[in-house]
Amino acid sequence: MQKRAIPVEFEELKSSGTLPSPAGVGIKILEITRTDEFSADDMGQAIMSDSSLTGRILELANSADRAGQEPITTVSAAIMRLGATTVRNLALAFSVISERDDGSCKAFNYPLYWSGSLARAVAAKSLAQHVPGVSSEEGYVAGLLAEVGVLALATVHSEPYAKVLLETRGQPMSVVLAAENATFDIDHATICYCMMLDWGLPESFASAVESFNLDRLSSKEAAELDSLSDLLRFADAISSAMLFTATTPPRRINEVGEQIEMLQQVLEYSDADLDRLLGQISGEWSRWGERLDISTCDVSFSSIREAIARGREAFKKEVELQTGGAIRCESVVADTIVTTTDAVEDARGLGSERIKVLAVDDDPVALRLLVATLRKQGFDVTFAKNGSEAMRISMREGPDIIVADQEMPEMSGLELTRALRRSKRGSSMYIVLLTGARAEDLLVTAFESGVDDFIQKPFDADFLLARLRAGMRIVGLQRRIEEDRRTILRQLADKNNFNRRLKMLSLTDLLTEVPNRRHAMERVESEWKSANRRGTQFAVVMVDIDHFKAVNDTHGHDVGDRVLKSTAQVMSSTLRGEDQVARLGGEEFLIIARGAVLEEARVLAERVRIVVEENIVEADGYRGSVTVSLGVAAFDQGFTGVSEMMKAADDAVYQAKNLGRNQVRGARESSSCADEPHKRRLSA
Amino acid sequence: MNTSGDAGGPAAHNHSPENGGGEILDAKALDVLRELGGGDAEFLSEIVELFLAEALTRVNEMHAGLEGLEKDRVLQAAHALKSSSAHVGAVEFSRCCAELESHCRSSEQSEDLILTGRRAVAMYAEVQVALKAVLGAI
Repeated sequence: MQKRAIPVEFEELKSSGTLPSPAGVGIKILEITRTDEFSADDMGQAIMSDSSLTGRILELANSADRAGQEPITTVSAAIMRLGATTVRNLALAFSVISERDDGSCKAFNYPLYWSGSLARAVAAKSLAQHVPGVSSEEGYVAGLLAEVGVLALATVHSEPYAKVLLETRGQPMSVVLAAENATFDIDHATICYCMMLDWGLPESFASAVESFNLDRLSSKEAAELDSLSDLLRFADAISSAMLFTATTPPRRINEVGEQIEMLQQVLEYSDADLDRLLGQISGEWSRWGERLDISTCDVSFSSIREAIARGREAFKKEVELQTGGAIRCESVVADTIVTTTDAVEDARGLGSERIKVLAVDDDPVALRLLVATLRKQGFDVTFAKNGSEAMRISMREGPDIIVADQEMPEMSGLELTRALRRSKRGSSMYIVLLTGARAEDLLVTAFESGVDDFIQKPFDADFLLARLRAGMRIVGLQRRIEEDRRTILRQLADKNNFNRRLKMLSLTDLLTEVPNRRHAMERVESEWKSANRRGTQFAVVMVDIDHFKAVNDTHGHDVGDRVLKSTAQVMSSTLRGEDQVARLGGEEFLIIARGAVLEEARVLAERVRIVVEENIVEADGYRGSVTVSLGVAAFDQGFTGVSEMMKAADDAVYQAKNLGRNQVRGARESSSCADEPHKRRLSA
Repeated sequence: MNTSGDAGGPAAHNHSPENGGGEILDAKALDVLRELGGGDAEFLSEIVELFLAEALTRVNEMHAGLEGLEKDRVLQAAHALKSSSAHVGAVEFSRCCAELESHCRSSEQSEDLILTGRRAVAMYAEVQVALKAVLGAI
């Protein structure tokens, strides 16, 4: 096949810089493997730098359809077994996935896109063994990336593409492609082709993906499975079947059914063989989903077959009704890729947790039917046979939705609702009451009691599900609110914590780790007030290290700092619990002695003087001790205010210094130096 | 006479002859059950067996209630049977139970209550036979 020229429209898309693309290691691999003669070793090294990528590639290389071969444990062994090109393509595909995020195109269901792509990849991987010349890993890569053109449009042109998707919803694929061409001058099939080439995948590969996109699911007269595009078509039918929802139109189901029938013919499979194959695909889908963090759901293939049979029946009727059988189903409808909010809210809960429903009924027949109906829709269902059992289960498991019969002996549905609404957990549950025909009398009481909705018994399955959709929307909102609330609380806690730390820091002296001047003055103020109000006692002891300047000058500031720190610590450890030492600045400290009168504070100060004198400081070759001069002022001396009291203590320190240092002086004590209190210390 | 609380019944079935003019079992309801089982016949038989076991006790209750003229007892049985029988397609029987239920709720002590009650008990025998035939065919 001739390589086509890349259209300028694709170059424009690419230049937007927002096309889905490999990231991180993926980019490096792209660079390394630009030419055909790249070094497999270099590529192996690049892959190994990403451990999760390595794990995924090894898992694929060791997976079941290569059973019987020795398990491999290294990237280079994987390259040996699968070939460098295959490993490279796998690495790229995985790295595109790991870059994914939920984009902004409102009509495009991103989680469903990835779920479907993964299902197609796994199906293509399984079917590849029947296609000559296609390895299972190639099938996997092709399946995963087969619709990347759609993702590209949704990502680059999110707003206009949403419009295209909504306008062509339910239309055949040819209409979608035409609308894309009309709006963007390029369609997703061409974009796929260009992206594959751009990522260095072979031309044959790119063409196969393109032709899959162009005539997907077109009903062929002769069924065959001998090319990569056939493989993709069948794999896509399987993945579509696994993602059937209540809203999948019959026409679509019919097409998928035809393809699966065709596949069965080609493989010459019995129903049991087909079930086995599909069961294995579904199992692998969940495993890979878990690994790649992509939502999947449990599917039973007997139920899919049932759905197909039903869908085809409905489709036949539709066709008969409309034209007496003249409609031929024209290729695929757009619903695979465009899924509306209905599908987003499907109970299978793609992209979110499954919704938990508690079914309550005392009638065993009705209960069994209710449970079966809900389970079939993919709800996570528990059940209870009476009101009190329902209450217990609700408190234990916290279901999102409760569907309860109203008329039950002992505890009615209404009483259950009231009981639940009184609890914190039960207040946010969505409660639906199943009632008999005479529910009108109940309505007002029931709504007042907190019932959210009513359904009449015997219930119709479709009706029940339609009503539960409203519940699911509310559950979704509630989950979001709860999440927001937690985030806010966490932020608030962080902020409070931060503020506390900030405040503590602002009140602490960083060097000595004792409170700073600000803290000390606040504390003195508050002691003063409390002493005035309640008649308690307190005293302050001003402490000044003797000859500190000499320590700094002789031994350096580091030693000086150690002396300050050590002195603060030793003073602090000498004090009683309610006393406090703070650093006022420089070599000056303040002790606040709560409850102490002058004499007691003097005793305390004397004790401090002694421990400081005895405290040996060792630092950077320095070993020695310092002494302190202390001035004591107590509340019981009758000062007029805090500043007078502080000034008196300060004056007392001067006196102590002048009297020869290393001693305690009380404020207003007469001494020989008392007449020159204003004399500054020149050599503290 | 026809004071049935069942508002959903089609007009054609509103007067019910003694032996039940309509089908004993509504095939459509059974199809719904088959569909719900997703092709799994076990599910249908499970439901039918559940019903037969439950209904037997209820019908006995109803019978005893009628004998002793205990309105409440009849009422409870009729109410329960009304809804569970509808699930397995015993439409006529369900309607009869609904009628019986409304007689029980009415304040006047009427002959109709006894007559309808007896009819319900007799009709159940037919339902039982028909459902056992369904089970046998699975």
